[in-house]
Amino acid sequence: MDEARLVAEAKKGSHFAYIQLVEHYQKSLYCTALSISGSSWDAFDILQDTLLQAFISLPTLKDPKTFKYWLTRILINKSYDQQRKTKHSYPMEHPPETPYEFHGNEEHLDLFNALNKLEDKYRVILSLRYFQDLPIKEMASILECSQGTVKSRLNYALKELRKVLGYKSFEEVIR
Amino acid sequence: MNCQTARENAEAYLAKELSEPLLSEIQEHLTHCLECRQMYEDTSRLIENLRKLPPQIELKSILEALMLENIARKEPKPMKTHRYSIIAAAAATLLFILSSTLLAFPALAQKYTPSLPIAQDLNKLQDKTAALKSQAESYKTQAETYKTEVEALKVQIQKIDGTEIKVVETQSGLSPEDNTQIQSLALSFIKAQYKGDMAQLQAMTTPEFYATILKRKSEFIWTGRGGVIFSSITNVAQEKEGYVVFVRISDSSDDSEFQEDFTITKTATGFKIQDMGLDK
Repeated sequence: MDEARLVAEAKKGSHFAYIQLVEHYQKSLYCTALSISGSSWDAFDILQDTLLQAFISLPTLKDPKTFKYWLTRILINKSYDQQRKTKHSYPMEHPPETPYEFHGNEEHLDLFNALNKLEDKYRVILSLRYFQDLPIKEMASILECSQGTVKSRLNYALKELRKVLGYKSFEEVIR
Repeated sequence: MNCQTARENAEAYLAKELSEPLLSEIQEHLTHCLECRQMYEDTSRLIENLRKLPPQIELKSILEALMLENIARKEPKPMKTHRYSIIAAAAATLLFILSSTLLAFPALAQKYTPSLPIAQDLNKLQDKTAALKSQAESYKTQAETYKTEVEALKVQIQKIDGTEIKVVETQSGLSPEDNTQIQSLALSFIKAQYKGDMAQLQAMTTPEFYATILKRKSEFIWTGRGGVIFSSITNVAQEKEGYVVFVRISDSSDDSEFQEDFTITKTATGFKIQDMGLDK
């Protein structure tokens, strides 16, 4: 995918170029929204709002190389907005089925469920790192904290995840 | 190296983000500590599996189609216009129009002697402004002011700091010395961008803006590009946020033409650039 060219064309208003870009990123964005919100339908709303907002604001993006980072930032803001909204409103009736299909094996499903058992801040950090594939520096900027905090939170999140999945903890191992 | 330190650096190690001597120390530790090696292997597998999750989640096609259809109905917002006065806004717009007409033909432009208003071009400009005006019906009053300002505009070829460039003159009310000094500052900034001369950039900018340049070097330092070709520059306008000046340039490495919008402030040590934004 020639991202720079697609971003430039989308910036000029090409829906076709934008949709190609979106198709490339939508799975990881949805997964990130899902792990932050914990609700599959909220995550769908977040994804949809993000992609619409990004298309409308694309002309303000200065450096096309930062597209992914910029898009992730919008997604995180939309996720927090959604969390605030759900806090103050009664949950909407959603169809019983999920808006997505999961094609992974059992190990992946266990991991997916384990992820949901972590605290919000650890789910966000793992999503940004492994779903969005962002460097520590950009994560620190999105989360408005130091790079040191990102690193230690990341290590802690992995440790918690290992614990939920029943891996022997470090402390148990060295005992 | 103890187990605690090895454990704390597992993520960075697996992401290949560690440097020496820590890297060798951890590698050494892992060769003889079975427990840590097990922990590293578990974490590595966990990360690998986490990375595999997004590709396995697929939105139902009907929902995806609905979402894409919604996008297809949207139109992007036009670029946010700068909150400059009408005169600066008019100059910026004209700079763009000019560059697509007369300025695209340097040979033709050279025929005109310096300091002589280019009458033909002004005619073209007025035609264009008339067209612009009819487009902006909702801004009738604004358009009136715009027209008056446009009529006062002159285009001249001038030599600023050794660079020959077309100057779009506005009634700026600034002294000619300050005007030239600020214009020359903007041109020197662009030259330093192409040279990657950090010392010069630092000397020309406010500490805050220089910090931004350092933070986002790839956006501001253009040593990898071709040579710079100056097309045109506006006179300096005095605004609430400082002095503003627009410079239109192109790059010899490709055909793209773009505009640098400068905001300049007066400090105890002279004029300093406090911000620069790009407009295509």
